[in-house]
Amino acid sequence: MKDNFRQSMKWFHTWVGLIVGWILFFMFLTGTLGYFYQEITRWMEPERPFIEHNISNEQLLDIAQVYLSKHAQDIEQWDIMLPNARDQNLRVGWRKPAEPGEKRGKYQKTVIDVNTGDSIESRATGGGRLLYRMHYRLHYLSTKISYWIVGFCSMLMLLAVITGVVIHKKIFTDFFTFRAKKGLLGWLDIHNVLSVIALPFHFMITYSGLLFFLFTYMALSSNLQMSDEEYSEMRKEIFPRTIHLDSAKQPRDMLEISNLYQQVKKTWGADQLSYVEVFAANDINAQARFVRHETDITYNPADAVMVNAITGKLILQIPKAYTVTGMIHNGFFSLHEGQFAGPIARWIYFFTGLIGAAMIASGLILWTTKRKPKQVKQLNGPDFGYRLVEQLNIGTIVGLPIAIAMYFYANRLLPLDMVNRVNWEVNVMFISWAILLLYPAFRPAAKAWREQLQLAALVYMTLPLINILTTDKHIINSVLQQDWALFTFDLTLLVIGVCFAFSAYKYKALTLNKKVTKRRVKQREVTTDEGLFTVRQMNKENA
Amino acid sequence: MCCIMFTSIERECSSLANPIAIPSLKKQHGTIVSNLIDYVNFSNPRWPVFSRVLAATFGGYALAITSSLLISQLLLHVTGKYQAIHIGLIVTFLVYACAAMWVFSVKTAKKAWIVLLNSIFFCLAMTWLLGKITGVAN
Repeated sequence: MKDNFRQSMKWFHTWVGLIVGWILFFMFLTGTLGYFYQEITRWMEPERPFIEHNISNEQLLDIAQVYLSKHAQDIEQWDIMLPNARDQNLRVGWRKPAEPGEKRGKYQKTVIDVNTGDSIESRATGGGRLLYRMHYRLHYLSTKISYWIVGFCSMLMLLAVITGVVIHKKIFTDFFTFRAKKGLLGWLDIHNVLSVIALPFHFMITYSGLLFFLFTYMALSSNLQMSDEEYSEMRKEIFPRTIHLDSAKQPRDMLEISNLYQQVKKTWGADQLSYVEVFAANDINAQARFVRHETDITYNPADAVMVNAITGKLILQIPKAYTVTGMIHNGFFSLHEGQFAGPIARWIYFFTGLIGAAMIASGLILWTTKRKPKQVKQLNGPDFGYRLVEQLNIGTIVGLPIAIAMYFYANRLLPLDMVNRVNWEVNVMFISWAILLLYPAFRPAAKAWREQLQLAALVYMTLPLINILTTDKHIINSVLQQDWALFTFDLTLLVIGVCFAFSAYKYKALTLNKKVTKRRVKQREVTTDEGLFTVRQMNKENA
Repeated sequence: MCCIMFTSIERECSSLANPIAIPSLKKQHGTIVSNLIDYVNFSNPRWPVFSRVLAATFGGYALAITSSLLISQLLLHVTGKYQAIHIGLIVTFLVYACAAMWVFSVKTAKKAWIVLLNSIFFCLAMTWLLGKITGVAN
């Protein structure tokens, strides 16, 4: 393409990054929010009660079982999820029987009020789940089309990451270079630092993202080599599951779950419990599986205990057997999802995700910054392509965060009995994004940047206020109730707002600065001229 | 959208023209046709770039698929069938990426196509041959 390999790759990196940069930014941002999707859902369902302190696991299990015996009598398999750091409410879930035309029934989750023992009817909302699902499923499009679009973008991302490394001569020195206030070089340095600082993460997240749909994207290869039965057998080998007995259709009374838990506590030697799964409930084969921690990457057979729910005896479990490649595959999945992460690791995930989004944003800005001097000088004004990129940059980099905030606003402000409320929450988000994408077309770029940054600051800082006005689960009450997860959510909104306000201020200062320095340069020229003049005069006088 | 990209690309790489001039056609036909030919001028640098884009996207994909067939055939007796296929599949994205990068690094689009098609053919032939030798048909 160009004279040498590195030059070609530089060219390639530029275009690969530009073509789908905005979709990638969308994927990175919504995906990053996914690390807190449970927390977001909890915030978006303000009908749920505050955290309940000083309640034992046994009490919680009793409350859940009473509820289930009333409402899920005929269901064979159900789960009880105990409150944890991410979601402070007691939840039960079961899969409804499949309706005609469905492969399997819908999984239904209910939040239980610990004080009354009844379920809580929350407002209809897509919650954090819908938001984070957009990063691989997009929205409004069919699943299949979305997966292929996302796959194409991820592939280009992978190419951008690899070529980005290739074109770097001095990856180490560059990391410690920062030429702030140097315009183009400054953006280049920012782009470099953001890329290098989380390079393993960028590679991992992109590659594992592709692996999620490996059998969709490369279906051609697997279809050529395997029959359908072999394929499902292979999937079982790659993604092993724990084994349990199915119902024998012989009803028996189960022991209380809290009773069984005593047995489990003895085995673990500690009072830790994350969730309970019950198989073949109220049957002779009834089993309860107590889990304290379960992810693929930290898989440890000792983290789950199976108990016979009729006799109360421990059942020896066959541990999951991973193949080597299955371990790699599942390992990538776990790293991508970060289910194993505790609070600190989760925040690190969140920030590296944001770094990824910022890396893409800085790359996109770099593209325009580099072409700006030449484009501005053109007689007919900048090219259409240049203006389009600039407009998309403003509308996406600042516009998308605002649109996400609008999603939260919609959750609080739309009427509760609205038809299709869930859809309208999302519609509000995309409509506001569309407006913000169009807006820069009617404004000079510098002004559009500043105004949207200011709008973002305003929107994020008033969100906690709206929360105070519309619900009782607001920042003050959550401090009083010591519900730190809810508190952190509102606080984070404020911090994001402050960050936007700061960048709006900085942006203003920068553009003003440029004007000031230009004026100063002019003044200095004048003074040097004057200086020369006086020197000459002095010389003459001396002569 | 793509159009804009390509006009911009064209400006980016105006020095990389790969001229395939067709003057004879131009003289014979009337004004509309010649205008059209001017418009779709194959000496225009956007065509080799477009050709490379096609080579990288579809040729790269085909190479990724065929390489996965070869890899799984090679590993068949080392790891067992499912793992062999799985390894072949996992590696496809890397093969795809390398192929795409390579397509954009060679001197001409024509060379990119030739080598790409040759490697696809090589992968297929080797897979078939190995299958014959080991006696396990895919």
